[in-house]
Amino acid sequence: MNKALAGISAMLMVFGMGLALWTHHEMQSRLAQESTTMLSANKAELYPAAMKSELEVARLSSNLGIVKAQGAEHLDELMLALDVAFSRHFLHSRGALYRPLMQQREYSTLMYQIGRHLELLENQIQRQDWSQAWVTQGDLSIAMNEVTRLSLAEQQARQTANSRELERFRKQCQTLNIMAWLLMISGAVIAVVGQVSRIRVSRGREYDLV
Amino acid sequence: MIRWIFALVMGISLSATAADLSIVDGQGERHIVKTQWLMEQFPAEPIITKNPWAPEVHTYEGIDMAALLAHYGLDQAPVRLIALDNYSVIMQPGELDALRSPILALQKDGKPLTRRDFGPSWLIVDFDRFPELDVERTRNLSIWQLAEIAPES
Repeated sequence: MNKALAGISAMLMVFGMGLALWTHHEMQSRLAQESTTMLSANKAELYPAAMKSELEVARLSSNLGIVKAQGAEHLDELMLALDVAFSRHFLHSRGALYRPLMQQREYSTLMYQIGRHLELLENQIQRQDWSQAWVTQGDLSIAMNEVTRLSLAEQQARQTANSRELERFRKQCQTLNIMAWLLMISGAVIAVVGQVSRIRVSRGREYDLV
Repeated sequence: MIRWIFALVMGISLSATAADLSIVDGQGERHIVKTQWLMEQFPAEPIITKNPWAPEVHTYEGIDMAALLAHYGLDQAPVRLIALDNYSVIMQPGELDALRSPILALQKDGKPLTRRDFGPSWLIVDFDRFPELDVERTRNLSIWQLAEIAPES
């Protein structure tokens, strides 16, 4: 076989193999990254965190009802629930996880409203204005429910975007994989053709390599 | 008069940082201890970091978590960490080492952590120094408003 042809054949096969290995490695590392990185984990944390906040607001409402009905002996529980509700609000408004959401006008307005509701509620509790406090906790519950809805929507949007991106990457890898196989097959064909061209069949049906 | 009593209770509630920590030791005995006393007994190097919940850099000071667990015989068994809001997480033996010397923070920038600011005690990991720790499991273990530590049976 011509040396140049042999060189081209070997180069194609080695290049094809290298490309196949690289594609496989890239796909594997991308999948590993998907399962472990902060980004992917964050996506799964938005909605449960909002659900937990809604639960804490419900606990605040229950405690408010108890204090309203039974008096100041349960005030400690109410104040604890209020502090926890404040901390949940700070989590949703200041946490790194919620920065993209805070860019949305609807969400940031909600955060402002929740902050106002909490301050108002604290003030009403201090004044023992239970009827107004009850109205405020209702408003607070509705606002927190909206936070849950927006968090769920954001989480779904991020998951969809991520799935699309992953699918696009998978297709790119598939194309590269096909190219790698084509390169390897071409190299192999060139090698075979090269070898076959060296065979000369004599009239006496004897095969000689030339 | 009732209003004055109410205001007094309210004032106490607002100023309280609930600085007691309930610890059930390895023998099952419950201890209610002041976190300030624990800080004096098991001092830890301050951690200067930001984290996913407080994205600005702050200095956290508090208790050496590993020393605390070892003192109460909880370093070789799974422990359940329970927060004031009833959130709880089980920490397996060895997980604390994987978190690279976290502290039970009681102060942020020299001021006691309040309940509204994720206090009175918050398990802080040095995310700035070890960014690879910023994964879901670490975030689950970074419990705030910690109220109780108990062995998980």
